[in-house]
Amino acid sequence: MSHHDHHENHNYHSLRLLKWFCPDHLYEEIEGDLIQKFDSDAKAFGERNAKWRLLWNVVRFFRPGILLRNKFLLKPKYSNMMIANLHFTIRHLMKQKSNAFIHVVGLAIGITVCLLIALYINHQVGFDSYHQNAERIYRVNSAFKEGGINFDLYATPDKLSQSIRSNITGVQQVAKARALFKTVIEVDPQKLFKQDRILVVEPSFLDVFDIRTLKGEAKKSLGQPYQALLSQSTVKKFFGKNDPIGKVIKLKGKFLFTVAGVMEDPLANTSLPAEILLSFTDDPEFLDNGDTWGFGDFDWVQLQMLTFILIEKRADAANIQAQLTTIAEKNINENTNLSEKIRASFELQPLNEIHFDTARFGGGPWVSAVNKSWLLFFVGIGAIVLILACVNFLNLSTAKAAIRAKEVGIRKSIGAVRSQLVFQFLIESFLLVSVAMLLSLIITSFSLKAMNDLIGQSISLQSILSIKSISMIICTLVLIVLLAGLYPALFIARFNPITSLKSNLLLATPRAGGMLRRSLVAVQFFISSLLIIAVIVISKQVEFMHSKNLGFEKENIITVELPNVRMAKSIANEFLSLPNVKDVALSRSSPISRDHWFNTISSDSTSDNRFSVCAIHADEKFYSFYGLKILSGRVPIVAEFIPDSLWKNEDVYKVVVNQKLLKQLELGEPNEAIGKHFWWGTTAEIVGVVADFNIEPLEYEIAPTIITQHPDLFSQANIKFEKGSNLTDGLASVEKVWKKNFPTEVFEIKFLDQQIHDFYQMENKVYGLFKIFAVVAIGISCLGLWGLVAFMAHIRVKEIGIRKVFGATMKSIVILFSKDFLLTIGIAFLIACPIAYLSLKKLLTNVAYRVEINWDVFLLAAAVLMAVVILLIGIQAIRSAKAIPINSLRNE
Amino acid sequence: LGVTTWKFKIDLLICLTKHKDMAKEYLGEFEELILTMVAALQDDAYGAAISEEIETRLKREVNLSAVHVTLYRLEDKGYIKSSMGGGTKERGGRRKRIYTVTSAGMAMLRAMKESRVELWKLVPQLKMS
Repeated sequence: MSHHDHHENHNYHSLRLLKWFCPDHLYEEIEGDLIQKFDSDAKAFGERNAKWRLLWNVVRFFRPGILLRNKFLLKPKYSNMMIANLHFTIRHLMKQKSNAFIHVVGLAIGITVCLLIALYINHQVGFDSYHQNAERIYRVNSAFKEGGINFDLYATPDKLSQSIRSNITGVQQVAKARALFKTVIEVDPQKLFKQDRILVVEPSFLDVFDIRTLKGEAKKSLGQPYQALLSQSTVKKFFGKNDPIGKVIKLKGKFLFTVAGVMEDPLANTSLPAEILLSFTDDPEFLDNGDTWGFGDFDWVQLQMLTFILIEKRADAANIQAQLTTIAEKNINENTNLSEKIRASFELQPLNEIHFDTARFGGGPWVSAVNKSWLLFFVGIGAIVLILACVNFLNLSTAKAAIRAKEVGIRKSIGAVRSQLVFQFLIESFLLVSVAMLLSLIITSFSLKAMNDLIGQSISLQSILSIKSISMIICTLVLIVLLAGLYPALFIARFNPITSLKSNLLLATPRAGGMLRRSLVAVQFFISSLLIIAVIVISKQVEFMHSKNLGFEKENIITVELPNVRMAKSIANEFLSLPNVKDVALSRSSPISRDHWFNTISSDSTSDNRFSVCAIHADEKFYSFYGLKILSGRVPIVAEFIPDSLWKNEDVYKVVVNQKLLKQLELGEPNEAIGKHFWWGTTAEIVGVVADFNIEPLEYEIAPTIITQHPDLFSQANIKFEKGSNLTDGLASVEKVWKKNFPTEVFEIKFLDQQIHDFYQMENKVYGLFKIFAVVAIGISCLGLWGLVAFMAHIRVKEIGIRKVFGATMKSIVILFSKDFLLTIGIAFLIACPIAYLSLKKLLTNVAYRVEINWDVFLLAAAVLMAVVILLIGIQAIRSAKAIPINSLRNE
Repeated sequence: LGVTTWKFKIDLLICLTKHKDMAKEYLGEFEELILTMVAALQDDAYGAAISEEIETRLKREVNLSAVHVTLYRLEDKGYIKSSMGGGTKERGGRRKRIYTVTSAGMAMLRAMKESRVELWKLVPQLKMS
């Protein structure tokens, strides 16, 4: 016997496995046969071996011939009950169609918003992740310090890549690239294009990044001089349906490149959306139209290249960072030509952070970096909307409980256990939530296009089809079921069968749930109030940004680029002679721009106390043209400009400065400042003071500004048309003049007000999205309120009947109805006001020019909220107050 | 409702397979072997014994689970019937399921043997010269 016990102990696990899948009625004999087999095996092969044979034999029993003999799965009483419950659920839902509708639609909308937000965030977070080696790719950034001012730049010196290649260990590939902005490309003499998004790259660029070529040998051709790879859509634009390979394109009127290949269009989620890749050409004239920063007179402080590195598989980024610092130390900081006030270093930045890098002038060429806090903001909105939808669900379910009270009573009295009831109601929730989920998937797929249009992205629903996101969806489903369904289920299942059966519907109304329900309504409307106030304030802010007086004129003004600055003056005169043109001024940039040059100044050459200033180069007409207000002094004239070649040490720059600069250098009042000097690389003399005007988008304060003559830099003509003149004619005549002077260039005009409007594209998009989501959130709350009020009206129908019989007026009944809700919502609103005030105030501190949050905001919000709520409650209240009492009382 | 549906489906499944086989009046080679063994072993016909017997007499490796599944199938078809035997000290006290051939099974065996004999007659017999 003990021998067998021993076996049984050993083989316990194998046999337990058998027990798990083997039908009960066959188990004993199979087990017996297996043990018998084991005994004979043990004799023949030894016990150890026999043990494994037993396990193998057990596994062999896992076959359809055995498995299908199980009497199936669910025990009869449970599965019968489940089917019955499903029946009851569907019956209930059909009986209360509007209620079910509110349940499902509210939730579906909530889930849709969450899905859309999840897709958006997924898209944002997935930027650049498609490269095979994405986690090992870094961009090298420059960090320069001058005086107390930090310059965080994405451009690096040309020599850096070579230096990394020969000095740094742990780096697998290095690639430098130069981003060229709008460049004229001649496909044939009749076809000129102004092409943006050109990258001049080393062949190793293709080893670092995944760029799929459709035609040609990309790597080989980029290794040869003057070869070009075009994206599919560029090929279409340039050559139509013709084969592009071997065709020659001319850049900047003189650089000939041969098209050697075609690559796929850049993906929607890339931070390097190059349409054209050109093999590297070391000609300064060729490379000149891109971002360049200079800190001195030698190569290592002329920053113009993007430098990307692919580090080795097990390389340590911190170690490479240290080596980079050494390079900066050796080549820049120890260079005696460098001003002692300037200190430089290089910093590694992981590829996936570029998309969120708002600090470095928008993140990089063609990157419009997204602030990560916006993503958090949207996560918050999504969570709020989902919570509101769940609260609705919870609220309506507990309210409905009164109707289910009798059912629960009967079920309990015929022996239902509480856990069974909870299970039943959870199943019910699960059914509703699943339907809502399906519905929301449908709505999402239809609304995705609208959202893409709004935010200018191309997000596809396909990204939802991964295992990760599907499991996320299922988790959300379960979470919602638990969030929204668990409490009602527990609550309903708690009913005492005796009271719920004895009392009638009216009395069975669980007062206990009333408090909870009321506080949930309060929470909903607290959030809704916050959102209403936020929408009002943000819309005011957006409006303010578009309409604020910037300190200069912006109406009827266009700007055109002048490719040849030497011809600027004569062209300006030609423009001025055109019939519709009122005025023309020459400058390097518009008064407001994201493209200003920033320099540093100090009160004298020895001072360490340096400030960053904006330098605008403009002719003498610029001031009157833009209506800039001269507070004192005069404007410098062309004759006062001294070209570098004639510059003598005792010469001074004649400049106009703004009030901010006076304040910064403590030069006193505008009229006192005239004739005073400060240090701007050379000595500068103030000849005039101009009133402050906005030089940058309104997120930024007005910076200290210098305006000075510099005819060599006048690459922009500012043209003002007569008010009310025919714009089409005016533009046509301007184009004609321009084309006559620059036949090989591409004409492009910019409307100043449009440009200013475009500064706030991001704000407009985010505001647009926020408005939609806020309206949805408020809508969900209202939907819930509507359902709740409708339900109350239903429950209290007899009460109202009796009141009416006893002579209650319609007014008193409407008041009776609305009082509770209005009070609750009013309190919620009052709590929301200060919180909204404080958080919005905090939010707006990031913006230099902001609206004040005044009482009118709150009054407006209160009016909107009350209008909606009174409308919702009022309709229901009046409807039930109007009902004829006989009908409600007669019907038992 | 749920279980009845399930059960119905499974019954249908089994019934369909059964029906198919019945119509053919045909047993597979392994089924025939097992049926023959049940007839031969008489009171000692149960899963482990049958597989041991096949292994010793025919020197053929058989798997226990295959024997069991075949036995159940034959029982479904009505060629054998089973009852639980008494407990013994062997096998950890587990009872055996003892199979006996039904008259339908016996008829089937006989019919198969006869058809084999008929076919065998068609084969040209080797003669000693």
